[in-house]
Amino acid sequence: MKTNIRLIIILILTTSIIKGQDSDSSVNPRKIYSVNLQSGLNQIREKNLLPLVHKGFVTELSFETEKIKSSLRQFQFTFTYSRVKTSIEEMSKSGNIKLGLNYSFNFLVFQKTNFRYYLGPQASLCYSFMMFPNWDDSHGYWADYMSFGPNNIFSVSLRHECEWFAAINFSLLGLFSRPKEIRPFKMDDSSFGGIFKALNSNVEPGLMNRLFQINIRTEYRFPVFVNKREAITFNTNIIRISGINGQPVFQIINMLGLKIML
Amino acid sequence: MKTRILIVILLGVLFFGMQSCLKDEQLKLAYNGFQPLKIGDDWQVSTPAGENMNEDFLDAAYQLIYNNERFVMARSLLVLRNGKIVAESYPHDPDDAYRIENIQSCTKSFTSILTGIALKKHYLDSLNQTFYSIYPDYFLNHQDKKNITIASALTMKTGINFIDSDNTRPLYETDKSSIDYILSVPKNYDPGIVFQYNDGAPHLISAAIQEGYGKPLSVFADDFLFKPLGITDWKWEAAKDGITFGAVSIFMKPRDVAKFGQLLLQNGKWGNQQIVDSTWIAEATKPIVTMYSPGTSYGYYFWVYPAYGGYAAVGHGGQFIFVVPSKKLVIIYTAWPYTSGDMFDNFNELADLIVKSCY
Repeated sequence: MKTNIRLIIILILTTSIIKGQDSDSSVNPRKIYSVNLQSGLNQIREKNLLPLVHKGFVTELSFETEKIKSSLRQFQFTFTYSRVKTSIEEMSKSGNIKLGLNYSFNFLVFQKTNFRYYLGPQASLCYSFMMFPNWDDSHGYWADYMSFGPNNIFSVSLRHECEWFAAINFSLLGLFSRPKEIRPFKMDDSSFGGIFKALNSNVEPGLMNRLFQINIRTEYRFPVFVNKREAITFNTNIIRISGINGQPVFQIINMLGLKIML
Repeated sequence: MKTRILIVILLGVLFFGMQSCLKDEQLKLAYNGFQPLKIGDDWQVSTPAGENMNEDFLDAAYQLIYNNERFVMARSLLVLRNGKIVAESYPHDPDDAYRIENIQSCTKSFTSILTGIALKKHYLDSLNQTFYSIYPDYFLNHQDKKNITIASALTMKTGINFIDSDNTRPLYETDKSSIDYILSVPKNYDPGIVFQYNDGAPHLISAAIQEGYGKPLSVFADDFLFKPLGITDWKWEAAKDGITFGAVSIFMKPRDVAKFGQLLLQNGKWGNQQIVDSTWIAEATKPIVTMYSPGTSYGYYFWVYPAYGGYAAVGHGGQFIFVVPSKKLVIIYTAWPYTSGDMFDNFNELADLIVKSCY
C-alpha cells in the first residue's frame, strides 16, 4: 500500500515535470487562502519514557495563506491529531496533539522560464503534547519549540495552469520546552493552568544539534474549474529535540493530503 | 537541464522522506549476571552458594526481567536471604540503584506498619477507634460515615465507594481538605462488610496518625521507621492540605526498600531495636480478607500468599516487596511506577523461580 502511494506521487510529479517544459513563466500577483487536510503516519520515540517507537495514523487540518507579489509570503496554522501505539501494545491508547504556526517571507532569488526559486526566513511555533497512558498514566509529555531558519521554495509552472510546488525548511536555532526525564512526583497538575505552565517550562535555547527540525512539503496544484485550483500535497516533518535534563524525542510524520484553495 | 537536476534531487529527498522510519531501540541493558553491587553501605552481600540457593533458578529469574518482551519496565530485582543480598541487578540503568523512585501502593504496607507503631506508642487508641472520634470536625457534613473505624480502613472495608481511577487524581488536586474530599465520596456499604481496594482508606489513617502525633505521617515515619533503619534519602508526597498520602508515593532507593522487607522478616527487630511489634507484623500479614483471585488474601495492607507461606507489599508497575519467612527470603522488584496493569507481568512466575532457588 505504501509503495503504491509512493509510485503514484512520483508518477504525478514526474509527469508534471515532463509536461511543464514549455509552460508560461509569468507570475501573477495573488493571494490564496486554502484549507489542507492531510493524513498519514506519525512515529514518535520519546526516550524520556521508553526507547520504543509509537506509531499510528495521523490527521492534520491546516489553514494557509499565500501572498505572491515580488515576494512570496506564507502563513500556516495547523492542528494535528494522532493515536499511536508501540509494537507490543494491542490497542492505541496513546495520543499526540500538535498546534503549529508558521510564517515565512521569501524573496524571489532565481527565475528561469517556468521555474522559480524563493528563499527567505521562516519562524515556526509548535506545541506538541503527548499522552502515553499505558506507559505513564500520571504524566504528560511534550516537545514544544519556537524555531527560526531558512525556507526554500521551488515552483514550476506547468501546462494547463498546473503547478508543482515544493518547500524545504529547517531550523537553525530556536527555543524549546521538554519535560525533565526524572520527575519525582506522582501527578502532573492536570488543570488548564497547570498544563499551560508545563508546556512552557524548562525553556532552553538550542541550535540544530539540540533542536533539529526539517519540513519537506510538496504540492501538485491543478485546476478543477476556471480560476479554481486544488492541490495534492505531501508533507514530511522530522523533529529531534534533546534537552539538558532529559533524553531526546524523535518524531517523523509523513502525510498525504488534499488542499482546497478557497 | 539544471532545473531537471534540481527536481530529480528534490524527488530523491522526497523519496528519502517517505522511507524514513524510526526503529525501536533496546528496552534494557545486556544481561550481565546478578552479582550484588559493592556500594559500601551497611548491607552484607553473599553468593547463592553461600546462602544455599540454586544459581540456575536465580539466573532464570534474572533472564526473565532482562527479556525485552517480559517485565518490560523492570528497574531492579534484589534477592536477599538470611539478611544478605545474594542477587541484585538493574536492567534499565545502573543508576537506578542510587535513585529514589515511587514505590506506589507498596506505600500502603508502610502505612500498615506505621499504624502498628502508632498503636504501640498510643498515638492511636485501638483498631476499633472511629475516625469520627479522632477528627470529628471533618464529619459535620458526613454523618453517615461516623462509624468507620481504623480496622475497617486497614481491611479496605470503609464502605466508601472510592474508585482509584476516578478519585485518586482529584485527591491529589483538591485545594480543599483531602479528608473532606474522601468523606464526600458516596458510601455504598456499611463499614466492615465489603472489601474495596482503594487509595482513600489509607489516607484516612494517615490523617489519624497525624492527629495523634501532631505532625504528618511522613515525619512520624522518619522518626520511628526510616531513621532507625538508616534510610535518609526518601520522599513521601502529601496532599495540598499537608496530609501525607497514606496509600501511595513513597520514593525510595531499592536497597532501602529492601531494609523494610528485611525488617518484616526479622519480626520488626533491627539490630538491637524493636522498631515494630512482632505481634503487629503477624496480625497485619495474616489472611484477613479472602480474595476472589485464587491463592491470595489480604491482611492490613499486605497481600498474603498462603501457597508460598509469604506476604507482599504490591504497587503500581507490578512492583513488590515479597517476604517468605520460612525461607528467610526477601525479594524486591521495582519497575517504572506509572505503567498500566497491562505492563505489570506475572508476579507468580518471577516469585516461583526465586522461591524454588531456596534449598
